[in-house]
Amino acid sequence: MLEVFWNNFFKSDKKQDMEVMKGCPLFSTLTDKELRFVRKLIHKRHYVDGEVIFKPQSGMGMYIVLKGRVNILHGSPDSQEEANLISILKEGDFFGELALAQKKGYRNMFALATESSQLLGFFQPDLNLLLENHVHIGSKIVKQLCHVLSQRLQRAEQKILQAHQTHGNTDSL
Amino acid sequence: MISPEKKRDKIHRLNLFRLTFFLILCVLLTTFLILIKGLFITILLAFILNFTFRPLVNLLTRIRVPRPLAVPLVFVSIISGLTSLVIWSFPFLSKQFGNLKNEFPIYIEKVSLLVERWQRWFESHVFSLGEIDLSTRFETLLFSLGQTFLQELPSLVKETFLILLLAPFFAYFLVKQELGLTRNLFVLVPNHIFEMILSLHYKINKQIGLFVRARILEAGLVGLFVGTGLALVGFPFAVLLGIFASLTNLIPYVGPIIGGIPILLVALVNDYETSHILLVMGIVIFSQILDSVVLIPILLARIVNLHPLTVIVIIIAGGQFMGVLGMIISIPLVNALKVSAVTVYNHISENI
Repeated sequence: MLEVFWNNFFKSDKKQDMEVMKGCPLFSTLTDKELRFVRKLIHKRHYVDGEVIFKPQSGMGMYIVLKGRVNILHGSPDSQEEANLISILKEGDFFGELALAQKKGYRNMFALATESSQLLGFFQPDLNLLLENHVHIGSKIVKQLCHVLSQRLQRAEQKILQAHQTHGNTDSL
Repeated sequence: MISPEKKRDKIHRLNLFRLTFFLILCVLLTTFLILIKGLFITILLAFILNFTFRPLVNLLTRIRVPRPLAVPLVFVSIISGLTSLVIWSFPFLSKQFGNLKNEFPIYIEKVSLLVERWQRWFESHVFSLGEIDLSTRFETLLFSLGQTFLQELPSLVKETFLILLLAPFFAYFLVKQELGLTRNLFVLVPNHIFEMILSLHYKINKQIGLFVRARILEAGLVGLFVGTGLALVGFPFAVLLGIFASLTNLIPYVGPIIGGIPILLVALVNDYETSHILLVMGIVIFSQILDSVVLIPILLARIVNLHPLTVIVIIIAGGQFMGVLGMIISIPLVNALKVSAVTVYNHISENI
């Protein structure tokens, strides 16, 4: 417990944060100077093993895994044993970016830390601030966000198409 | 391997601990601010200045002026602008003040004469008030009020000066922090309510900023209108009365009436013709109609309003705690609290 506070208050591994952020597609096009500014907007959060990061509720933004492991599950956080595991995320992965683009983002899944984890959170109010006062940074991030979301949409379309095809195949059998 | 129940139990205890710690800190901070009475007003004023100046600084950063340059630029230009305005209008203002000081005893005498006249009229038309001499009572009351005001003036000036000097200083550092000072407190917010608090902070900040700017703009416009109108018809003390009207306009419902009283008194005492008095009152009433028909719907429509009864109760409570200043600041303060409460309530009820 003390460690949590110690980390919260005193430990600031700027370099490590910057490297992880650079690895995230959303921030990959920013210059070092711009990235240093965005780092100030980021919230560093600590979660213990088994702690719920977010529930299927309205969400505010995305997280990047700095340390630890995070599971994305479908179901209710109150009955975790029955929930379906969607994906396991490790260092450098990010999740929840859909909430950055939504007006009243409602999350379908919930996120669970399966180890003691450190996450970097980037949220909608801060993206708004960038878009209002630092358009050159904000627009770069939004462009990358569109890119990420369109890729996901494409993958989803492919999956639907595949499902249709397999469905059609079983019909013909 | 720890069992899931034990894990959950541990997380629950951890959250409880974090929440208690966070709440205790919030309560301590608030009590600290309220206990230091002088500082409380300074900080409140600093926040109001912060909300007013911040958009200007943001406007400059938008055209890529570096923030460390933009903040001093805005502060220096506004402060020097205000100072030169005061210096430029000083002979004029001091003349109005001097006139007021010289004519104050005459005004009291005339007001008591007025009261006497009314009393006579009342007695001859309705019924006798007997031995009660209203005019003498009124005179002594006004004199004692004036005396207490004059006695308290030095300390009042000292306090106001301290506030006026310290508030911009505080505000400077508030505006300089682009992300806001309160942001550092987010580290202490427990994980399970973190996103909710973040969203609330954002919404409340936005609402209060809108509210403060709208109120200042509204009061300024009303004062400008009253002052200009009075000056155009050649009314004495037009500028002072305009400033007074804009200040009292910050108090809803009751404020405009308080702002109109000295104007009516000055008109009555100077023995103006009825048409002239009606003209002057027309200016005040028209400015109030303009305020409630045009300004409030445009500027304050999106912001929650308080029930007239609530307003009166709050003003009386504010007056009891902090005097005239309390009357002015209590409404914005309660309005801010209401904005916060409504936002919290909506957020929680939407997410259950």
